[in-house]
Amino acid sequence: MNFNLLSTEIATALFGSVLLILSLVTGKDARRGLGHATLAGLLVLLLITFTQYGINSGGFSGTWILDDYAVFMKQVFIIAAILVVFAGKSYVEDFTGNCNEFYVLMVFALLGMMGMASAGDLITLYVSLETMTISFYILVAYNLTSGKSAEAGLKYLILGALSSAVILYGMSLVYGAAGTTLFAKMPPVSVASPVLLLGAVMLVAGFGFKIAAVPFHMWSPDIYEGAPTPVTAFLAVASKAAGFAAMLRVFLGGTPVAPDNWLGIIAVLAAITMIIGNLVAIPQTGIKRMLAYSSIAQAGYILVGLMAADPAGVNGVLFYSMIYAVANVGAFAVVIAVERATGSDEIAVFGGLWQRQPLLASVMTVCLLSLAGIPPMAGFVGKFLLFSAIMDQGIYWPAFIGFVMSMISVYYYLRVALVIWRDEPKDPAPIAVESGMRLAVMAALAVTVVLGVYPAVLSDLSLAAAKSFFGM
Amino acid sequence: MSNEAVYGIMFYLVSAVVLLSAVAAVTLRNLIHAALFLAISFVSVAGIYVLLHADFLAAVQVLIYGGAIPVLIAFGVMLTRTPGAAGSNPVNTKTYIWGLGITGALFAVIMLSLLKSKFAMQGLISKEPSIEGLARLMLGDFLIPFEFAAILLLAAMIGAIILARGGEAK
Amino acid sequence: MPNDDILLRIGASLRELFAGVLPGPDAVDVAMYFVALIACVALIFTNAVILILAERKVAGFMQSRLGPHRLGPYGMFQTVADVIKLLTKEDYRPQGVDKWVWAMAPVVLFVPPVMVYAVLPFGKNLVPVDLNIGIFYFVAVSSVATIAFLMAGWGSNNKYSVIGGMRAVAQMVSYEIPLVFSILGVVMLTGSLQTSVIVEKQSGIWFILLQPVAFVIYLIAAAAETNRMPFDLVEGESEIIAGPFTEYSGMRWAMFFLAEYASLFAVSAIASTLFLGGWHGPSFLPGWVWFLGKTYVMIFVFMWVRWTFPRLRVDQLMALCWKYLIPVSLANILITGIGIFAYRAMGG
Repeated sequence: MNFNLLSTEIATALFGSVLLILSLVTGKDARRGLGHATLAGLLVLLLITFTQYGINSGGFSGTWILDDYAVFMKQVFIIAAILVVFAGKSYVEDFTGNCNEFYVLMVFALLGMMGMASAGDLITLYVSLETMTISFYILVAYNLTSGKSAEAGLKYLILGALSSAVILYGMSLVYGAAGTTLFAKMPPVSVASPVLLLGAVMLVAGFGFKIAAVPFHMWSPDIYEGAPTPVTAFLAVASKAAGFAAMLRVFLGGTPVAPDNWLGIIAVLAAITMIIGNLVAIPQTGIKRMLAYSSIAQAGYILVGLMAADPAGVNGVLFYSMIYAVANVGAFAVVIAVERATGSDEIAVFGGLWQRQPLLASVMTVCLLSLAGIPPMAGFVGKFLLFSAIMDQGIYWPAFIGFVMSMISVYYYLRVALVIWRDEPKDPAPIAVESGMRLAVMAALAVTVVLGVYPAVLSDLSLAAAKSFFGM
Repeated sequence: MSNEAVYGIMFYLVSAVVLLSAVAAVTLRNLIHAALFLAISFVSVAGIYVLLHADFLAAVQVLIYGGAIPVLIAFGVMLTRTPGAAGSNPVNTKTYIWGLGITGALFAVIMLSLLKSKFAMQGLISKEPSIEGLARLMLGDFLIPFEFAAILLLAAMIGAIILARGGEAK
Repeated sequence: MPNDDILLRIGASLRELFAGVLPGPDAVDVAMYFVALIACVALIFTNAVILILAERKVAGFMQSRLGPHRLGPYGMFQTVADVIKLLTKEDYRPQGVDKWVWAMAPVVLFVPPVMVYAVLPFGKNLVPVDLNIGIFYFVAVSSVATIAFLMAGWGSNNKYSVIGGMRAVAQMVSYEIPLVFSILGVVMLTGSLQTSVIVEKQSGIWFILLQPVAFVIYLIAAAAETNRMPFDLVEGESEIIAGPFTEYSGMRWAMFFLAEYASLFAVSAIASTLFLGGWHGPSFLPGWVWFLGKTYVMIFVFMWVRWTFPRLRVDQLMALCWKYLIPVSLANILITGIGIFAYRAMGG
């Protein structure tokens, strides 16, 4: 057994356990220290992942795959986690009661995501998916004195359990039809039995829930709204990316499939996700709900990359996941700061933000523009990669829908920008930004702008990762 | 009577118990009764495992679904409900037709695809003791999910304690 | 038969008898299972009578009094008289109970102990059903008893009964963990879950010498699993007036008693299987006599404990399990593993 394939995961598990012991032996006064320890540990993990590029091999009887694709995805998760901890540290410190285990659960959720990116068979995939999801159930309900948080936790638990059941049923059908749980040995769909197809459809539905694709998106606005905002950011970004990582493994990682057979489902999902997500985002008045619908729409764009089912498409998915993660966490970081200062998450409280805190105002604007896909922000490059991948195959309509919907999305993204820059602040007091938050938003700003102007830094890496995914 | 026929009869008997008690678990108005019927349904599934020579799985099923899960459910009901258990599991009659239609359609799809598929059934049931093979699989081929499950349970346990202890008022 | 054990001889002649009447070897096997079942049930009933008398005598001895002594020599027929009394009592159902749940609870409680007897290795080749997951089967089946307590507690529609039922659940679910962990130490040594193999491997040395910590943990956890003093919080006569049993009388109440002693015998028999070498012993007596003898020694130990220690409080009960027994049993597993590894490394 080659444990080098597992070094990131072993380090993460160890780190989580050490953090658990630390949070147990230190008292409530050590909150700040624990946040710093978490950051340090996550940075070390990020460094470890860089040593894993180029290994490109599988092990453990095929249940574990470590290719550049997996490493890239893991970096997306870790970077998202780092930004979330930077931005959310003070928010977490505000929790009443014992907040020490918050970071432990975050690290365990991260571990689950890593497993999803590297899983080589259905069982590994399911167990790591559950590791992530169960950690999230608790994180969502973590604001123990808030009724909204409890409600969100309960909803997420019930709906998440339902979707897990659907995934599990789908997996059992796939196993029954294929006789194996290994993706590498799955029979191509063209020769598949109806049961295999049924199982695949159930998997689409289950993963559709995890990535909040329409019509499996109903949970996300309520839960994004009720959950503690750092958790919402982590959920919207990392959990969604992990869902995509797993989805790609399941549907593209096995034997090459006949695309026309099942990609139709993905196409329909992508189309309605883009349309509904963007249209429903327009009338929202709460920033968290608006971002929830926006992230539904973003899932639709990424699904277009999955539809392409070739290295260019996977490249788009990887690149866009990273960009989306950074921009979305950046936006959520601003929401966290404003929410802490004003106690509200209505869009209206952003009025005149530029007078109160110019840094937050500009970061918010840049991140929203990136999410809308306006050049020269990185989001534009991401969308370009996604849509050109599908257009290279001669299929134009998803790209067309994507373009139209991106235009529509500009409306509600810019509406927030408008409130920020045009309206007079109700309360002109400046909003304090502490150092961690400052770092997080600056990083998000820098990455979004730099990658928009000079995307090759990342796209070379993601292209290599995408090629490794197809064994090229 | 041949062995096959005996197995067939046993299978249908056990399956009937599983299904009927599952129906009772859904339709009974008293939540405690529903939970107990759910337990019967779960334990009867162990009977199916025995018929398939999956002895270890059957024992696990009894241990988890006979000993732990129904107790957990009943415990939850007792801790949250006032004594009036008679109508504690109301049936939603308003959307009856919709529910029936959707589940019926889903059932039809699943049954059709099951009937139209061929399964490789030869050699899947081994009469050898299953536990050694299971141990080898868990600590060999499927080592990673096994270890992940450990982390999963740890996370779940921490979470249960956090949520059960609740927050302190500001 | 080469073995001149009387029980084996009876078994063999029964088998011959069935073979003459029934078609095929499968049917004979099934018939033999029924014989074993009947034998086990008979054992449970006679045992209960003996154990109740023994308990009262031991209690009397511990408390410097005589115990039952009127009926028959040394009061030997007292329990028989009690059984007749219970059987002839009116079958009374209190108003307001949840009829079916209430009525089924004693029956459900009686099932797991009976099923456990299937894997008890009474002697060499004398295991009713020699499952290869024997010990795990014991754990799985006895866990179902929890639900019976819950049914009795809930069905009685009585607050003390519900409290008792809840205590039963908390206690039995918690103590199952150290119980299983202590068994695991022995299983690691033998590499098998089959009860007959476990006994077979103790021909040289009894596992109580190799696993003393596991033995102690097993004793404590088994006492808690069977709800015996000092862990009888479920009944707690002085606080919750017999808990789940409050609303039962006559034969139904006797069923609870029967189940309690059946499971007392079962856990003692498992203890002698796991730790005391089962049927092994000097060969002037047949194996099953040794097995029963060791089991009765274990039962005596349980009675001794019962009449010596006061009852625990609920929080003490939970603290004992979660803070002491479980960590210690985990450490025991770890040390056992290291020990086995070291033993193998030394070429043993």
